[in-house]
Amino acid sequence: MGKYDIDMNTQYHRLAGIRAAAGEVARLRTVPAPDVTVGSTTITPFERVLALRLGPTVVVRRRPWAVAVSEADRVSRHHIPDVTRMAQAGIIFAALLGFWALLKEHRRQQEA
Amino acid sequence: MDLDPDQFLQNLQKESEARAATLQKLYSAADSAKVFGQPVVSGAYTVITAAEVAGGGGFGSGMGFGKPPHKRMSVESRDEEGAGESAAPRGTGGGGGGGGGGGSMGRPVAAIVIGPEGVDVKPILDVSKVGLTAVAALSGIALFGLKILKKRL
Repeated sequence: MGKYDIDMNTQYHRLAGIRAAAGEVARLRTVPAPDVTVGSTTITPFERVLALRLGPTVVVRRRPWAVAVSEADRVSRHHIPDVTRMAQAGIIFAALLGFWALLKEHRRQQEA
Repeated sequence: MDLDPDQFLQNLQKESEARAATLQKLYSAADSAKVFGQPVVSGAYTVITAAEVAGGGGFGSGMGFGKPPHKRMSVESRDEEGAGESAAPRGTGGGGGGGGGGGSMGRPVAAIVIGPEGVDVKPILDVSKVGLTAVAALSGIALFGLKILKKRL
């Protein structure tokens, strides 16, 4: 059994090393994508990368974040809006307001 | 089942290496090539699509070792069993298993249009997703309203 103890310990440290190499629990980074040049305009897209690691579970989410535009000597930055998420957030917020209004009305009538 | 510890640990090492490789694959599954598409040229316009991509996965595994309980044998019972059988070595046992799963999704977010007028970012609305959210939210409010109405009656 002594041999087991040593080898299992080695295995444990090996797995710990793999975990450390895989990264931290949560990581949020803004990463540039390859440049695209059209005529005198060069654009550099940026993406937001969210990596979550909970035990043996990994979740990676990448979404377009912004575009840097270089034209002659001028550099501008355009944000990429996610209108679908905005609309969803608006609907959920409106629904919560609706719930709250219904609950308030119900309590008011119960008290009356 | 007799266990060869070296063989078992070799298998365990192979499994952990395979798991690390799969973990790395999952990390790189949603790469930038999938977020920003290849530029498409049409006349004076160049279009680059931008999409949200997400992926995830998980693993689980377990293993165990065991030895049969040592029985204290009396001299009489040892004599009854016979020398050959009682001298046979008691083996150790062990086993392990694992499994995993994963998935990924993609959704268009915007189109980057490069034209004679300059660069324009055109957002894309996913009507199905918004519609489903609206239906779910309205259903929730309707159910809640009905519950309140029933209490009142």
